[in-house]
Amino acid sequence: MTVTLVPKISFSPVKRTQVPFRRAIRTSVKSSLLWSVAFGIVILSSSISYKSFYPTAASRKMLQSVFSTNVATNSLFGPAYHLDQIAGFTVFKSFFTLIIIGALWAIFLSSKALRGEEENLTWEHVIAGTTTLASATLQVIIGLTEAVVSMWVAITFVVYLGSMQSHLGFSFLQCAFFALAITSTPLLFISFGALASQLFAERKTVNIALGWLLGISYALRLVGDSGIGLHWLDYLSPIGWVELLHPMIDPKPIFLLPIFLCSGLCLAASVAMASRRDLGQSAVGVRTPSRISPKYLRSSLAFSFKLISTNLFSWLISISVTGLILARVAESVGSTITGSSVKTVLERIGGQGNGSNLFLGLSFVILAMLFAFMLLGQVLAMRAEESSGHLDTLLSKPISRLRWFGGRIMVLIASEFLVGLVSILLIWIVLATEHLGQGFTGVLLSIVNIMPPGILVAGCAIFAFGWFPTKTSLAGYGILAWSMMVEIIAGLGKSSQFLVDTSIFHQVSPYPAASINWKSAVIMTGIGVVGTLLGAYRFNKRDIGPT
Amino acid sequence: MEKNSEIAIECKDLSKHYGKTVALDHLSIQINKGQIVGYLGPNGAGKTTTIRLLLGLVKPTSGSATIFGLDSQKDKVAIHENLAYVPGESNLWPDLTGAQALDLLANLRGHSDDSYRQELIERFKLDTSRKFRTYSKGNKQKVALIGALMTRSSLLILDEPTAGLDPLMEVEFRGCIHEARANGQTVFLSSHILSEVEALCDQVYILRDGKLIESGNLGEFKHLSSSEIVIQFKDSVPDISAIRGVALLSSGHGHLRFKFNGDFNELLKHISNFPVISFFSHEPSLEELFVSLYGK
Repeated sequence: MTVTLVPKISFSPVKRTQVPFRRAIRTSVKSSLLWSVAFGIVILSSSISYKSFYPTAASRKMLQSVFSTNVATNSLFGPAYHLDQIAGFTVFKSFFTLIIIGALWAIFLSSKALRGEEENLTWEHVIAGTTTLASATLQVIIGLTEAVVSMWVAITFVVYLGSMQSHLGFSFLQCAFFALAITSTPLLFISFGALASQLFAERKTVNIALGWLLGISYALRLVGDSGIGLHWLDYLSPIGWVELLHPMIDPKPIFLLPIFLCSGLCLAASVAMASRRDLGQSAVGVRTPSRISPKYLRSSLAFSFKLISTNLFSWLISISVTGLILARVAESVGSTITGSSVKTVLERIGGQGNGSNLFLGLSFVILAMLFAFMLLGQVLAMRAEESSGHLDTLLSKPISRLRWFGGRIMVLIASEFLVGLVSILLIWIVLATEHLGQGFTGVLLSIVNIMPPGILVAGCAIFAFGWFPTKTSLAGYGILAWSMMVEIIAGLGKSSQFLVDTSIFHQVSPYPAASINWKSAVIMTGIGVVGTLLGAYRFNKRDIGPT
Repeated sequence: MEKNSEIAIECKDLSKHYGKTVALDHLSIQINKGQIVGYLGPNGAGKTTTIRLLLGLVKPTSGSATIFGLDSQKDKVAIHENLAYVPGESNLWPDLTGAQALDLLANLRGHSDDSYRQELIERFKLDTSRKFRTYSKGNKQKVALIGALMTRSSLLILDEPTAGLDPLMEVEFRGCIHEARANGQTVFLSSHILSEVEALCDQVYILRDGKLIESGNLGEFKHLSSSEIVIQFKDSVPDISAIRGVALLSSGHGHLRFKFNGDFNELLKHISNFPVISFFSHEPSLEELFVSLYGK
């Protein structure tokens, strides 16, 4: 009798049970390091620009006197401490922006790695093996925490090395504590994300809940810092705890205690809940289906609008609030620019008028970036329709490709028009109440002036969508990332004019501080329109499919 | 906007290449109106590519396809007015409920039979109040099936339509296809479930590596595979090894068991001198045909 032996296959037990951990590391560490470098550059850019824009003791004292008592900026960006020192200004200028970006990164990362993996059924394979749901949850939490630690270390070294290179005078401990303060927000929101992933059954709901938590947390500390005797509200807000760390100048490590305690409790609760529930289940359950008006289901165009409506609403709020904030602080910030070297720099690139006008001009360029992101998001939504296979469903109905394509472009234009109009009205009202002398026409021209970069980015992304659909995201984000990187590099000091000209945001004149550069506006709009037309031409001819 | 012709689908030398990969190689088929056609082939044979070409979602490398006499590329919008499609993997918008998804599909299509839709929902036992993302695979497939059947389109193109359905629902599905046949609708059914194709289809096309290797009705396929014959003789057993088409499986104790794809008259003539107790002949099923074709 011949016996055939089945070859014995041995699996490493360590590798087999560490799949969720490895997956979490793979999806998080790369992005954490990229963000660390970006954060480091922003911090160094703030410090270096302070040295060049406020070179004299007098200008620094003036800065300190204007902002230390400014309720508006204290509420929005946190109290201004020691703006007469590089470290103080660096924290004031960059800290809040970075912790909010860090929180958003952590929200999307944790919801994707936990509830997202459950939702797309990846964990069915994992749990079918020897790993339990609680063990998988714990592994992902450890993986994400490791990404935050990598971020902390990377930011510390980027800032410390940059500081030594540029003679900023930051000590290693200062840099490490500043980096720790910045990364404590991602740590908090990863733990909140882990808990929310146990509570809610859909990743979308987890993101919405965490978004609300971030908003409420920010609002609590905003009221706390508004100088109306409610400073204790800072102690109730996770963002408030981070703010109270006072990195760089007057560090208060005691506030790491609530941060670590809260994170630890949330993470422990997440693992405990995961051990008690079934895969795919949640404590709260699936939301009741929202009521969708039948009018949105009548045509592909109406349905396209419905698909982007939530996203559009978010952008409407974001752009309007940003516009309102910038308009609201224009006068106070403008007063610090007047007479400073910033004014000289702005005048060199064509900026004229008082400090408020100069600040408004720069503020509108920031809005131009937001508009560009909004329009790109809509082009990416078109691509997502195709890659998800939904476009197959639509185009197997009596709907022509160009009708669908044209509908989406119409929705895109209508969104831009709507968000632009609301922004114009809100900014105009604020400027009128601040008596900053910008009439309705002035605000209208300002908004028109900032549209072309977005049109160019959208047009290039649509071109890629038509010709190289899998590169749509790369094309759009590539232009934006390049332009933003050039702006940061240009902000650090002297750089090649050719390089600076390649930034689409450099092509936007800081109106109302400078006259509108119609030539650039027409060229950018033209590129966008031609890109759109060429993209439409190719889309009508190419293969469609979820590739 | 159907042209006056008895032909529902016609492909002439239809080919599709993806780089060096040949997904479909000079396919020529003709399907008449009112037929139910099975389209068979292993994974990667080119079935879905054919369907995507017919729908105008992808462009052919060469050749052409017409549906109701209209070009599948140039006239796709007009064609789609008389066509309903069920993809292999039903993937509708996750935040819509089943009812909202059906409303949307009906509106995009332009028309649907509302009373038939309600009947289908009850027959398939679909809870239309739940979000699409919460449905099981089978329930997702039911939404797509109801969405297609409720339109009562002249042509139904179904790509693995019963994937995920339980056996009871498969029976309902077969009932719906029989009703479609009674209504004069044409059905193009791509499937791996051979019993389903065998039960439903008038005509079968078999694809392999992008090439059409067999076509015809089930009767015409019989030559491709052998019948299995078992004969119990009263006394001695004849020697049939010389007869063409015989492949002996076993013999002894007065019985013979063999595969046969030769001339039955010759076989009967040869054994007529040997008293027979029983004679059993098993015709090849489509599944056996399929296995014999791909086993080659």
